[in-house]
Amino acid sequence: MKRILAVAALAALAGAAAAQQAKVDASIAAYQKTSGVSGNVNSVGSDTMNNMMALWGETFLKLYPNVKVQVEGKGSSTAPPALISGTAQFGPMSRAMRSTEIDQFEAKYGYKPTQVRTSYDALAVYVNKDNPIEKLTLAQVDAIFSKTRKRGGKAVATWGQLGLTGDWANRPISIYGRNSASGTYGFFKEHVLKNGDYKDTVKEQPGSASVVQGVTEDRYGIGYSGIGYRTSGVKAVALAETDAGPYSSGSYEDVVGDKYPLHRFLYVYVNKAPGKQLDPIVKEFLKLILSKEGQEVVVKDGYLPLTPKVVQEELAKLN
Amino acid sequence: MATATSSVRERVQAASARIARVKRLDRLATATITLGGLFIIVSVSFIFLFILGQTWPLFRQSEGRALGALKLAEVPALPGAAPATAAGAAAPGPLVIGTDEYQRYFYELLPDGRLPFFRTPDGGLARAELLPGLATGPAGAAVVSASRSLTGDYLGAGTADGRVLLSQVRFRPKYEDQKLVDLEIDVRERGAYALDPGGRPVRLVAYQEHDGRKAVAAVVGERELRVLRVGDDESEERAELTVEPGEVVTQVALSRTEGLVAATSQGWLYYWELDNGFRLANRSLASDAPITALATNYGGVSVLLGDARGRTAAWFRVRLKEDDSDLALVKAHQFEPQSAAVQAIAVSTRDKSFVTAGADGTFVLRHMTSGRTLRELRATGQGTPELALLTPKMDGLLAKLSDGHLERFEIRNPHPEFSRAALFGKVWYEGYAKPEYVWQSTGATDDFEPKFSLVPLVFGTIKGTLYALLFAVPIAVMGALYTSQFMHPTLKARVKPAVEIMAALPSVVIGFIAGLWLASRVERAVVPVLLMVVLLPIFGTAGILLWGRLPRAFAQRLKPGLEIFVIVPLLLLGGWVTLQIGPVVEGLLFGGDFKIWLSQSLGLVYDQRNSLVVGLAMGFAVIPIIFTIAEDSFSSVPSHLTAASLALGASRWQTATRVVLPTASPGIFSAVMIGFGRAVGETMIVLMATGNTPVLDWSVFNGMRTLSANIAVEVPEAPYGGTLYRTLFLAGGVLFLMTFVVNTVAEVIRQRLRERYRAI
Repeated sequence: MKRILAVAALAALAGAAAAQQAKVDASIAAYQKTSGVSGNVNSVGSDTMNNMMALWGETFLKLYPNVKVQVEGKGSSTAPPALISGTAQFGPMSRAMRSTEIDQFEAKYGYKPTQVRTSYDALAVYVNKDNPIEKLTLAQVDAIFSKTRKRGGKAVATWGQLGLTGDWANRPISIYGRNSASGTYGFFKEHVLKNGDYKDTVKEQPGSASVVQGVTEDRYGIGYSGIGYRTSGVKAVALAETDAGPYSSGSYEDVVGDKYPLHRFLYVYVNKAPGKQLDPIVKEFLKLILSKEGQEVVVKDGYLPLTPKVVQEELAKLN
Repeated sequence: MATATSSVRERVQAASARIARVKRLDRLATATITLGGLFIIVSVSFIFLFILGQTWPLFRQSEGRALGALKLAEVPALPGAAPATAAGAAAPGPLVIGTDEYQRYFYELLPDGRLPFFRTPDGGLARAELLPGLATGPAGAAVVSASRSLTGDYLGAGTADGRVLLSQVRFRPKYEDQKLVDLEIDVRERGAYALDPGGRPVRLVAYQEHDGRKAVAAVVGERELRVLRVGDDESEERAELTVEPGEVVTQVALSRTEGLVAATSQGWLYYWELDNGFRLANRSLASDAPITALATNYGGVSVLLGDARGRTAAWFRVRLKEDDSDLALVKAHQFEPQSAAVQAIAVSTRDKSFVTAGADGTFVLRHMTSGRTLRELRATGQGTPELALLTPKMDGLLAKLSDGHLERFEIRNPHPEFSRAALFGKVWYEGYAKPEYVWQSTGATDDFEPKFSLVPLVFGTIKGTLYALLFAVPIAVMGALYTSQFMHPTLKARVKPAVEIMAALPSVVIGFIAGLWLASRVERAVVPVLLMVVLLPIFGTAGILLWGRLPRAFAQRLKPGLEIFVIVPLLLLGGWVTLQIGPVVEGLLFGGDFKIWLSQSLGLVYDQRNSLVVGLAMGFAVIPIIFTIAEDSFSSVPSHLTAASLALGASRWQTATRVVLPTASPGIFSAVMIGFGRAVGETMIVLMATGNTPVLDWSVFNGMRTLSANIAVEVPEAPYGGTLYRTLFLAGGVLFLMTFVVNTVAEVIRQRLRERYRAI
């Protein structure tokens, strides 16, 4: 299953990966294999990071053939319960944990979970590949998706209201989004809608791939997903905070330089007791993620690698 | 002779043995069936009790308990502290109080700039220091006002000489053997700004810091506000704002770093947009009494106001009309008043609850969204409450009394957002123009206001079921009637199992096909699909008429019951014709594009994942069940009835409609009801074929969110034991009740019908 997933992911994302100029920084060290690593790698969490976790698992499996890797990705909100109950050692999340989730973890273990940043994502707003629209401001995106429109701006229901003409002018916009278990749903709500509410007409899809699929099939569709899910059937729109620009399509330089408005970190949460070493398998897996090989996987999956500075900070957390 | 008797006896014995065996089997069967029935009743009751058990905690009251008043240790004099207030009050109380999330320490800021930290269990002094930045100013400048941000413990202190000192208190946990042993306290300076060039005392101060951006507001004089914003690049923006002449600013608060709220002695509420050139956006009369307490709630969207007469209200800004560019400030919630003036408002940092502290020592725990009073608590000490604080983890309430004691309460408030009114009534949520039914259960952060209205979900369930039955019932029942009464027996022997195989299709497969394949096809051919509703019955009728007009010589060679071979090709032809004329009709009637016509003439939006698709897909899943049961009940109409009808000269059609249909009606009714039950509980088809949009709209061109699909979508994210988790169980209970009631009513009606037709 995992293998199929990984292969499917590779096939689907080959085009996307090629389009990204992102490169792993040369100063990020290669992974050093150690001995004494055995057991299971169980991961429960983000759907956005599902393929990436599977690919890291594959790489890990190549280094340590006698470990078992299981990856489940139904949504970021599934990670905290899995970490708390101990059914998973890794909780990939595409948003930071909420304080109530941290409270629950702390109530069980007496300390807070450890957050490890693994990669950057440029959350993309996708339209159908035939759609002539090139760029949108966040206020426009908010007006499309939100009924409370916290960013101000006029209500938008048709493509004509976004400046499209001809056949497109009177077409109602068909909106796709994620289900509420998703960290992407929460991130989008927080950063684009400014904690406003989605319209009731947003079609909630169970996974990032189905959002992209929906927009591919629906000529007048619009949706959001991680940049790693870009396919040839959809187009990522350039975004800007305000109409003064600058518009950015989410290139690596823009994301790292804080110019793309919807960039975020993708996290893996682990249960690390203070003053105690991590379980070797957990530690090695995280070290792999933060190595040259691990970051190459990030690029392969269409996401954006960490800068050497962030890698150093995260490695320091593991000891 | 002897052999004959013995053989008779043997036969009698054998017979009685057989009868005994049959009776034994009979008893065994009775026992098994009774046991099975009992088992089913027990399991259903168990499921019901389990659901009830999971939802029960929602209905429990919030708990609160006074832990008593704590005497705090003396704070030693510190060199460099400002002299106590010039007014010469005996023991000036603190200006602001705070605590850490584990409630190990409690701190307060005193007017002379001392910042003591007490251990909460015993009130002993842990450490005391001076507010950073205090010493840099001219000597003798006492602190006259202070504020503490809801999260992050950002302290703002306004001095008597027009400055604002910013600092932050941080607690770092220290662990030993994986146990929390202590907290490391650290007070860091965040800057000092001279906000009033005239050097007047800062009467009131507010300070927020968010993502490296600071916002500070200081009230000097009666009606002047000085605002400062510092960007993450240290760029500064300053503004001087005033309220109307004759008013005195009594309260000030910041809404994140974006808005400034001030209340005046005349009861007016002001809102300035800080992102928008410090524009005065709203001014509303909030109360006919002086406003004595003001706070922004968690998330900074709503403003909570308490006045001198003990009244509390929540205000927020909304866009009243779709196209308004400006937001209006509205009073959304008015809470139950309390007997004395509201002295302080303490806001939770976990949800939308807050506490209003009355001058008479009553503390009222309220929830903003539901407008409910959750709990009333009384201080054990004698003094009036001056400052109140809900602990960061929302498990306690701390209040500083005028006699210097610290009053402590324990609070357990697990499901504040739940109320029956919120489930089934309209609720006015933050940012909404009016109260509405909304389901939107989660956000990325805890300051999100969960919206748990079951109304759109129940509506969606009924809507989906109705459209499915609208499609399935006529086809299934009429198909069953035809199959049982008219169809050739050989053909019938094949048709029935074929239809039953339809039922074997997993609903997830149907949903997948409907969502990914059918939806986009229907979108492209929506006019032909709608035309088929009208045209296919016409073609079918034409086929029947044609059958009747066939040349006698030809017709005699055909066996009755094979009409289908004429009608089906005609139906297929009809389908093909509609597909062909669809675009023509669309051009003639709808100006070439049905969807644009729909949105412009009727104001309806065509959504790709709509009820039409769900009706088709779910109807497809329901047809086999209704068909099979209906066909069985048609076939089990006693043949002497049909024979008598035919013998008396009735035609087959008359027999079918006047004799068979009424006699079989109890069976048809249960067939439809079982189909209804299946459609109500159907999950995967709705989940995959609709967008799960919780709309309240009967339009066939948009989707729905059903109770069952909602449970499937949201259960994985729902934290165990949380409000959402229990509300989903409650939704399951509602679903259970819906099917239970419908099935019971159906059974009663079926029994009545059966009684009525028993005579025949």
